Amino acid sequence: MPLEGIGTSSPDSAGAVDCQSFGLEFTVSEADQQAFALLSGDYNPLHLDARFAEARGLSGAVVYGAMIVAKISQIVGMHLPGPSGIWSALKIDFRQPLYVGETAHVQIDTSHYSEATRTLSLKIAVTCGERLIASGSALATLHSR
Amino acid sequence: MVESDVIEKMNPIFQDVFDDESIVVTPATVAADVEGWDSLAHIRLIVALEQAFAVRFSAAEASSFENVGQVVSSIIAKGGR
Repeated sequence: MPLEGIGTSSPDSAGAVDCQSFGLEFTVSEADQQAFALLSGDYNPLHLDARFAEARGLSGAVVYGAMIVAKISQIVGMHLPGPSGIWSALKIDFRQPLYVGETAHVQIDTSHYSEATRTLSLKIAVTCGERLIASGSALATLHSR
Repeated sequence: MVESDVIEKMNPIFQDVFDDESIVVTPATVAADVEGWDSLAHIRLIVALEQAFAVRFSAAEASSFENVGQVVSSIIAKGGR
């Protein structure tokens, strides 16, 4: 799963975090799908068998939604807010299928920072070209020493 | 805003945070009255209230509110809208 990440910094507006926005690109391969099937026990052929999926009106094997959530988790855990943060809420709507082999972009932007609770409100958008694949929101709370 | 306006706007926020459409809060409501009002839910509630009313609480306030009425008073004092 090749990755490329880009963050934008604005320390004054968020206060406790280095980065206000972060985006990364990713591509899910057939091998990634197989690995997730093994991990999760979800062997739904819509995710693993392109012919099966195409026979049901899709354009190929569909990337597991949880794989998309995994990329959101990467940003939250590693970049925004990063290693001092842990998320406490996630809402996500899957809008259109992402197909195996397609490159998607995950963009997370901070919409609010609560100093009282040291919690960031995050807006999430996952796109593939002009297609909106998923959108949602999350909360991530900072834990420092 | 007056107290009743704030309470009216608060109720759907509580219902969403606690995933319970039957919740109706009053100034006398305390955490023990609402099932699931634990520390994580409290964070979600404070964040949701800050965003909904365009106010910011201090950490001391957020941890010391004793009932909904105190939250309402703080929102009004901060010019919540």
